Amino acid sequence: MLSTRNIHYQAGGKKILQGIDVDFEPGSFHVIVGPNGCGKSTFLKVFSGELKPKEGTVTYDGKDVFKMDKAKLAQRRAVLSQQPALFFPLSVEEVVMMGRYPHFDFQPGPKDEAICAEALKRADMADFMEREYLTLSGGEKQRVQFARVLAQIWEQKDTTRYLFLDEAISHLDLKHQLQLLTVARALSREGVTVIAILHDLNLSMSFGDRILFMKEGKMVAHVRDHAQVTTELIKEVFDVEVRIMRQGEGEAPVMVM
Amino acid sequence: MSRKKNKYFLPLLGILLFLTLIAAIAFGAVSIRPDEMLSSLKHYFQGQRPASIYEAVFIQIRLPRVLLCAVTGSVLALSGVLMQGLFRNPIVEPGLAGTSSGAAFGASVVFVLSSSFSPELKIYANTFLVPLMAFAGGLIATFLVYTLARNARSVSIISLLLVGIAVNAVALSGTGFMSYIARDPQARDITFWNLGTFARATWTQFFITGAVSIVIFIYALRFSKQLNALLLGEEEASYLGVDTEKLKRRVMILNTIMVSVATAFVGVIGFVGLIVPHMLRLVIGSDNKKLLPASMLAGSILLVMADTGARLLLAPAEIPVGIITSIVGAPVFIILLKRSNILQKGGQHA
Repeated sequence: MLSTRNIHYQAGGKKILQGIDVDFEPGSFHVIVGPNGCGKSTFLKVFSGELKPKEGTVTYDGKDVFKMDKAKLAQRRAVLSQQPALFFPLSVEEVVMMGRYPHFDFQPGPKDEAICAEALKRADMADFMEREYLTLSGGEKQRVQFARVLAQIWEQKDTTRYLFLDEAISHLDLKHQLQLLTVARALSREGVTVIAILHDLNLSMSFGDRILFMKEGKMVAHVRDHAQVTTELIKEVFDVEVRIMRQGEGEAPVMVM
Repeated sequence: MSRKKNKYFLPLLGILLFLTLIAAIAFGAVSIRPDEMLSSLKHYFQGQRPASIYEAVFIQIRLPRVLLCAVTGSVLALSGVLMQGLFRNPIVEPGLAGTSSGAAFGASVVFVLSSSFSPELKIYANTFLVPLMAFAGGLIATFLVYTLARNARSVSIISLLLVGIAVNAVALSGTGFMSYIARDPQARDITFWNLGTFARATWTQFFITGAVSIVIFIYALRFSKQLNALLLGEEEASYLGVDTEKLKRRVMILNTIMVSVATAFVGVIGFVGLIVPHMLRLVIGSDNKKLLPASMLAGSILLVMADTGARLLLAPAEIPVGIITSIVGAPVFIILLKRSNILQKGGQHA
């Protein structure tokens, strides 16, 4: 269980996070949504252990994340951001192998190489192994980064693994958005705690087991059930009028602007 | 080019370096034949005096000079790789953090002050005080850049670059002022030193620079994984378990030591640290595990060639080697930039 308690964060005198208490249970696909500047990305940096909050605690299975060994943490927690800016000539294989860095000392073993190949396959980039990273399109680059992140937390561990997606699908076409989210959901079914910041509310509802609504650095709602997503909630969080079309049992509703 | 075909690249560079060294030793104001090199070495290790003037030139002048040149080249190239990785910018120079201009200022102060020294003291000043002050100048300038660029908890790369430009400008004007108030011969010393020269190479200088280069190479190679991860960005590297603040600090320290030591003995030599890593990135990519050793070898080759040119072109007079590296280096660099896509891609970043 990943738990945050009373998270406060300030930057330049502006209160960005104002007391967020939330539990992310393992084996679920969690989605965080909210308007621009509501603190989603800052919150992700805080609970991933990258940014120390002014106040409050983040615990992974009861252990304070800011007291953990960074290298150890990296063996079971991976983060995919929007689009890492890489300007140096590297092969796709070399980029994906970076995901294995927390796991080997100096020389990657055959196991690491096998995992990289598998991860590329899973990101639908199997044929790109030998390619120059800089020659790829934006979407292809992002899929390589996804493979890198998959390789990082590939192996089953005794402790929970975590995968965080920070607006990771923004540059992908529809097919690969779905494909990436499908792989992430499959991982959540293997027990990985997946937490994704998404913009598309319909994707959020069809993939998210739980959806966290944020506004102005606070948690507005943490829903478990599609029935809890109402027009009033959307109006409150995004200040937008929508119609919600409910479908059959077990199917995500569709939101129309 | 496929990277898999490049496993012969390092041995190839090694052979090329060996041939370059032999050629550089052989040619000069006096030519030395290979059999003279061997017999000179034999006499030296047997504790005998050199049998001929050629043997003496070889063991006392040519060999230390060529070897110092080789290790200096390797240090500069190594430093280039580290700095480019640290700043995540493939067109960064080792001198950017103020190290070489600070060292130049330190040296120029000694050149001007030493005019009031007695002749004996002057020799002493040139052998010990110049390297010492250059080293101190390099350290102080880099420390200044690093401290000023630091805010609250972390050092941002952009502010490091900008503060570096400012501190470089101050150090350069300091050096300029020193040459302005200097008398003719000292001003000439300052100019020569600013352009880099191996004319005063000694064995001691070679051993010090060589030891520094090897120790730092081994140390840097241990960071190759972390340096690679840093290419993705500080945040991504951090998510991969890299303590980025610690890494940045360490790389800065390594770089300062390397550049200060290299600059202290031979003066400021530009472009080697910029061009060598850049050319190699185009051929073997940016994986530091391959790039670091390849850069050391290629840096040696390039600088030894440049110094041989410096000795031969206007023989028996000498051209400062820095002039050669810049004249050859700048156009090559521009051609490389035009041909690679880094100019477009890196532009948004720089």
